[in-house]
Amino acid sequence: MRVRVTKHFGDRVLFDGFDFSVEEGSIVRLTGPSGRGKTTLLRIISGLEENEDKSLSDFSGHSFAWVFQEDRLTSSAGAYSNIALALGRIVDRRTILSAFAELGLDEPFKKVCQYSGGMKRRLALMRALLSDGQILILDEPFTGLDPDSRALAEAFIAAHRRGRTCIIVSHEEEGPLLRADRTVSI
Amino acid sequence: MRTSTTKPFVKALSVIFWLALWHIAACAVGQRILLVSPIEVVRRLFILISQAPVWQAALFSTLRIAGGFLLALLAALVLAPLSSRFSWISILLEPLVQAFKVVPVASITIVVLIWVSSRNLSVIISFMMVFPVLYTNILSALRDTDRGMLEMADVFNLGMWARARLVYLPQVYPYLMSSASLSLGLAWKSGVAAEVIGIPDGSLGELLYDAKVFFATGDVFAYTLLIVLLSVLFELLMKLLFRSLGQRLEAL
Repeated sequence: MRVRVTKHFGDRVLFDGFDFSVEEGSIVRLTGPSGRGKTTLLRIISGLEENEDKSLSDFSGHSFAWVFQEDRLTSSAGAYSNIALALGRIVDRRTILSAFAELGLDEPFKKVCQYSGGMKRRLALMRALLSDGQILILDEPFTGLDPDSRALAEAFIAAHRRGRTCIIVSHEEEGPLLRADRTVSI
Repeated sequence: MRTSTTKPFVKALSVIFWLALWHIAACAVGQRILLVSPIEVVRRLFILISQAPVWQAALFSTLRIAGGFLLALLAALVLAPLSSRFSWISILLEPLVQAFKVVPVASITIVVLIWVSSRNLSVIISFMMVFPVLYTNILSALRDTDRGMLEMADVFNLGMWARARLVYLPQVYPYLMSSASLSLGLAWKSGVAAEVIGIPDGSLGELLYDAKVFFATGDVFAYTLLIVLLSVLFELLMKLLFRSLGQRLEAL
């Protein structure tokens, strides 16, 4: 899958005919210094941001599962409700509760506002991985996770990726379960 | 720690100060027709509430003012989301909402009296006073919805209920609570003012008007106190209802 990206923010040129390609079913790691447009690139790929270059985009027509940089959870609702309400049509209760256990989240019915930052991150990861999005976009998915939680999160991604294309923005090398097929620096 | 223990005491002291000042002023004036003392007001209130017609009038006015408030709440809950979704509805409603906001209660009351009987006047007036407050607040809450959460809802293709529960409800609920609390007082003030102008039979407004005509100043104060008490009670009930509703929705 390929996309050609052009994006300006005012006078600033972020991308000018930048060519980005991903092998279907592969894991691509996106790296680069802050402010270089990694998140913007992902937003353009998934249609959340407009691409000024309309000449080539094999990504359009696909559905996406995102782990955003921010958790984007409803803090006044229960953790379980955040997942069940978002994915109730496609995932059953047993699968959701088992995902909580896999990610080391042992209080699924607690309100999200009572969760720690790391727990919220794992919850956001669960929502993306259990969803039926065809392409996984994980924007710094391990932020705020301690080594143990990170290992659980990586194992969870590996177990629930189901062969889907995965683009990860990460500043550190992932563990063996989530080894990238290709690294793209921008 | 010190603030939390001294605050209620200081508040009570300030209330006592004003009541004492009122009492001293009433004694100094010495004419019941001009100013009655707070003790006399409470005494009159107890006498009045022991009479069936007063209770009937309280029920008559409460039902209508509460009805107007609830109708306004319902209308705002339906129209604000529609306005947020379809800009033409918002544009269409804007002049009406502005008109409701700026036109004096007295003018609206007189115009409404030309069209309908005075019996249900307070329903219409409290609706017209409350609707703009609730509608404007709910609409602003919806317009201020976190864009990130809206994107999340689109990405995960959330259905209507999930979108309402996870994105809109947490956004709208605090605005709704504060504007409902504010507008409840408004509903009572405008509703009773309309009844005093329209004098519907068997209403608190009629009793208040009669008390004024017969220079029963003590009764004017006592009815006013009764209206304030009813308004506070109704606000308390609504708050409890909203809180329990909010907790139920959060538990879903």
